[in-house]
Amino acid sequence: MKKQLPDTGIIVPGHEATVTNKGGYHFEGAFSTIVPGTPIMDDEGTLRGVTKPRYMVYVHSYGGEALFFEALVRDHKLLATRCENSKCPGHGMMYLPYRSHCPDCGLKMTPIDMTELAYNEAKVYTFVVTERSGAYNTLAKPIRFIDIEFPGIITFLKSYMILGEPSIGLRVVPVFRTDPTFTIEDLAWVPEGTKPEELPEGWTFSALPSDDEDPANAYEGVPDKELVRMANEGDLEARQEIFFRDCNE
Amino acid sequence: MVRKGGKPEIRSRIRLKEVYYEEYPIKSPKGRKGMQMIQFSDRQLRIPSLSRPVYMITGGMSQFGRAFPGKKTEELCLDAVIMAAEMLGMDWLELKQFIQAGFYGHFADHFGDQLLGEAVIHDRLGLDPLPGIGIKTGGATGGYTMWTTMMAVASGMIDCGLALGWERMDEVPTDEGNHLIACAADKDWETGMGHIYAGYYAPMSTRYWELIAKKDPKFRETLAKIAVKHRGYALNNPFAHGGMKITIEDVLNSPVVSEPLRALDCCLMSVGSACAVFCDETTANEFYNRTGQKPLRVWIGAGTHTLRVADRRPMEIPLLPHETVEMYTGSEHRYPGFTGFLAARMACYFGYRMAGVQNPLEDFDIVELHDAFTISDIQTYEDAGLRPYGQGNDYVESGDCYHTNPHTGQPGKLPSNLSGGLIGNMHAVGATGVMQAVEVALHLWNRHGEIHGDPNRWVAFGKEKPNDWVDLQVQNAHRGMAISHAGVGSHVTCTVLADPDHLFTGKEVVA
Repeated sequence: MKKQLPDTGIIVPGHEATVTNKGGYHFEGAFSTIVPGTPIMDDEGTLRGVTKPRYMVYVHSYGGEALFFEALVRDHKLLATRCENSKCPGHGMMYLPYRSHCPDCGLKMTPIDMTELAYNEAKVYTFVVTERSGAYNTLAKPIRFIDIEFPGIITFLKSYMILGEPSIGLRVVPVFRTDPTFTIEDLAWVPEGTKPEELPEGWTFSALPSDDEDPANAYEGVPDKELVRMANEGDLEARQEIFFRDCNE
Repeated sequence: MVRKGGKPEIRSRIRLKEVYYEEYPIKSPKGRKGMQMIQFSDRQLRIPSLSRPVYMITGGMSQFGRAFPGKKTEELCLDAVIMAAEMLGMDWLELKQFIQAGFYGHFADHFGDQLLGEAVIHDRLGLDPLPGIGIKTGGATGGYTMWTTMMAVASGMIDCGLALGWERMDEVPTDEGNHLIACAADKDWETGMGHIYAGYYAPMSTRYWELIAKKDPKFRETLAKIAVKHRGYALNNPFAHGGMKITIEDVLNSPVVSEPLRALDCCLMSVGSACAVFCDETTANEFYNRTGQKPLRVWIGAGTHTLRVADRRPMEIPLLPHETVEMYTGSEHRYPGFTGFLAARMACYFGYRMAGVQNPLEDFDIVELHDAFTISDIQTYEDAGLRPYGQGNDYVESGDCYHTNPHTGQPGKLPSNLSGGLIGNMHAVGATGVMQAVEVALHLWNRHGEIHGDPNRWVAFGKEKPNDWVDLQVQNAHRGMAISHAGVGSHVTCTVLADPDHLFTGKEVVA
């Protein structure tokens, strides 16, 4: 389990993080590797400093946002969240970036599949094209940053385009990395109308949803009382259905 | 549209339901175009008040530069506090006898590879074992450091406190620096994309440039005028590290950073330190009787907004004392969207009312604004109410923002960034907000020319004082303001300073 540090020729042992049966992280391998430094002298031979190189691996916990990244990577779906607390002034507000808890009432929000909304309605709100990047960048340059707006979503989503040139108001659709890195960089955007064969290698559109994926049909004709009972027993879909009925009244 | 893609291998853990936006009811009647708005209670929007008046008695700065291999950070901090002491005719040992706590603004621990850098500085200044605390709010670190110091003095917890800010940005290569700054964006949703802050910041200016400025070449020239002005003023400032004699054409022909911004539209990346000393009225009088330097009243309003710009939710425009609802009725732009900085507006909303400011353009004599980029400088004119939203460029075109109005040859109505600002003077992040307050204070003390024109200072900084050096002191300056602003607008403060014999016409909010 060895690997070479980028552009250095330095070989370090690999690393692996797992979750223990107690729920903590277990780290194994090279999470921190020391690399020798060098002194810095000026022309007159005065010591002006020293370099202190190191190789360090961070872990990012996804916590309550893990569901978004799982759906992104495994299902090629985009999840938003929505506040369902009818007492909250933010009741009904939908969020992408996915946030687990409502910024108004602090209660856990409900995940919503918004993939079709993205395919049908996403537009570039603003953008910038940058020729430069910082250390550790993995995106091809120039980077076409876009902020995307979706009707019904109270926030925007920052992402990037891998095909075409961005402009304000441009209709874009999401594409997903087939060999995922389990990061937000696995999601990118292309102009509406891009054909599958035009996508660069390693990217795909999401599959079209099938009818059996739409649980809305399951609750047709179910009385309100029965729905409340089901929701109280923890049926998430029943809770959603109550929410929609409330909204439509 | 036909889409093609592999069937998902693993079903999501929840049963997903397709939802369309038409299904959402709009409960808030206030929103434009039916958009739901965030709201706040009257209690949350209560105007902050100080339990007792707070005064700024002195301030100081180190030299600012791109790199100082010959000085450690603590040496630069000592330079600043020694200048603050000298401003009062004291040495640091003497001034230190008044200081009961240290408040330290330092944005990026990882730039200096030193956690608790504030503890290092506190020790090197000889303030152990007195209380000391670090404050970090991105580009607004300097402003928030003073905000914290003000609260400590106002509460009676201390009578005199040191607000000191610094930044060390020369110890890593630029691309690593870009990455480290990009770590101030959301690590899981933004940083990985490009590892460069421009990717998060510049889309805001694109939106302003296309929708408000409408890509007007005249507006582009207005931006260039700001760069010319700030780099030009910096030539008269011995502390500054970015003074340049340039033309509008130079700016327009400098390399593109991201449309419409060119290299000369962007602020500096600096190393340096700045400090201010705040105290209560009794201590202020003691200083005044001893040194003759008039203490200045200080009020600081503070605001915040989402670290991820993408998380901005719409709301009604919070109005400043001189604004009316009618000014923005029928506006087609979502507020704040990406074209305004809500945190800056809230800082002014609170700060102006704390101090009794009624109209910033009329009430202030000098301002220092956060010109990280020429276009964000214009956005700040609007957030701070120097012009209504959408009309910020007029503050430049009217000549109001100049020391001497180029159209009339008379003093500008409200000169801004005579220090050179972030574009011409410095942006040593943790020090910037403090530097701005010190620069404003120098005008109110009528010492701007003395401090900037001192030939010995130019020599000490290894520079030659220009033959055409100009004294930019604003005559009869009694009241000023400084905006300390974090990158995409996550934190902003509005520091209001006033000669106690020339307070504002409005009613000050008193606890």
